[in-house]
Amino acid sequence: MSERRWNPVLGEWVITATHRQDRTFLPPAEFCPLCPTRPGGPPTEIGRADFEIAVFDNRFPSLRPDPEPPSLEGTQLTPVEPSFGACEVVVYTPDHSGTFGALPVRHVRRLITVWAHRTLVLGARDEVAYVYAFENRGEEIGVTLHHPHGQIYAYPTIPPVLERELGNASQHLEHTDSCLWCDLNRQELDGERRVIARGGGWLATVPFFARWPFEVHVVSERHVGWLHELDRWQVDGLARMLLTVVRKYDALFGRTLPYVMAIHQRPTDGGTHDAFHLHVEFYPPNRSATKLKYLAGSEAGAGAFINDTLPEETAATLRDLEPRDPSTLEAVR
Amino acid sequence: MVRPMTQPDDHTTSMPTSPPDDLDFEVETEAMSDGRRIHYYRWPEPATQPDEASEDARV
Repeated sequence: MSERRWNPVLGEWVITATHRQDRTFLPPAEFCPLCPTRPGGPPTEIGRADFEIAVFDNRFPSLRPDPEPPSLEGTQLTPVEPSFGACEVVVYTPDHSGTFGALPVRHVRRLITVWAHRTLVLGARDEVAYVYAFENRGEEIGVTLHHPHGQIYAYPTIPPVLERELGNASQHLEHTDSCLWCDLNRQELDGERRVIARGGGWLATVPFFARWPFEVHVVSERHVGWLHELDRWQVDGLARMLLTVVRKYDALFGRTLPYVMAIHQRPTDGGTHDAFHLHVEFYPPNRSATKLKYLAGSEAGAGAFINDTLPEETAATLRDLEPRDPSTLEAVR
Repeated sequence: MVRPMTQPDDHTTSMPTSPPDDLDFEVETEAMSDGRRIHYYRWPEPATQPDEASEDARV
C-alpha cells in the first residue's frame, strides 16, 4: 500500500509505502537479487547472464505509474492522493563486489548517460514533475543490498528540497540577474579555501554552508540544467570528478565511505526553471572514522543543522588526499 | 593550491584527445516475470578496454 498524504503544517507531501517493510534485507552474496542470473543459480531480478548497465522497475516501489487507490479518504485540510510516479533501480555493474569508486571512467560516463536517458524517458510522462537519481552507499545510510546500484525516483510533484533550491535560485536570478550556483562557483574560486578539485568543466567544494562534515557539491562550471544537456566532454569531466570525490572519500578513512549521492537537475514539469543549475551533492554521514553524524533534536525537530566541523578544514583534508586506488581498500562495505 | 582532479604530473594529458563516444548506446527492454520492465543498456564495444587502466589512473 502506497499513497501520498499532505502535511499542511510543513506544506509537503509524505509518501507511505507499507509494503517496503518486506523488502529484501542484506541477503548473502549468493542470493543477491541484483547479480545476473547464472546458469544453475537462483533466479535474480536480472534474467541475463551478463550485462553492462541494467535499469528495472523497483519491486518495492513507493511511487508507480498505476498506483492503488488510497487506503482512506482525505479531507480538504489533509488530502490524500495515489502515489503516481516511478521507482527504478540502476544496477551499475554485474560485479557484486565492486563499488562506484572502482568503476572505470568509461563505465561512469556510460552510467551518466543512463541517468540522463532515464530522466528524459521518465520526465516525459505527464504525471512526473521531477526525476531524481541518487545512490545510497553503506549500511550506515540504510542500504539493504550491497551490490553496486543506485535508484531513480520520478515524483509527481517537485520534492521539498528541490523546491526550496528552485525558489531561492529564482529569487536570486530575479534580484541579481545571475545564477545562484554560478555566483557560488565564482565565490568559491576566489581564494579556493573550500575547493577540493577542479577540472573538466566541474568544480567540487565542501560548500560554505555544509550541513555534513564531509559534504561535497560538484557543480558544473557551465550553466546547464539537466544531464542530457551535457556534451561528451562535460560527461567525461563529470565522470572523472565523481570518481575523484568518491576515491578521496575512500582515502579518508581507508575504507569505502558511506554516502548519499544526490543528482539535482531541473524539474520536468513543463516549466522553464532557467534559474536552476545542475549539480551533484554528496552527504557522507561520518564525522570521523568511527563516529556518525545523527539527525538529532536540532536537525530533526527544528530543521537546523549543526556541523561539528569547519568546511574550510574538511575541504583542506579532502583536497590534500590522493584519490585512493579502489583495489587497495579494505573489504568493509 | 587546488589539487587538480588528475595526477599533478599528468595534468596536461588527462583529458582524452577525442570526445568519448559513450553517448551512443542501445536499450533493450524486456518484461520481467511479474510484469515489471527491465532495460539493458549496451554500447557498441565492451565497457572495458585494454587502455582503460591507464585512463583510469588519470582520474
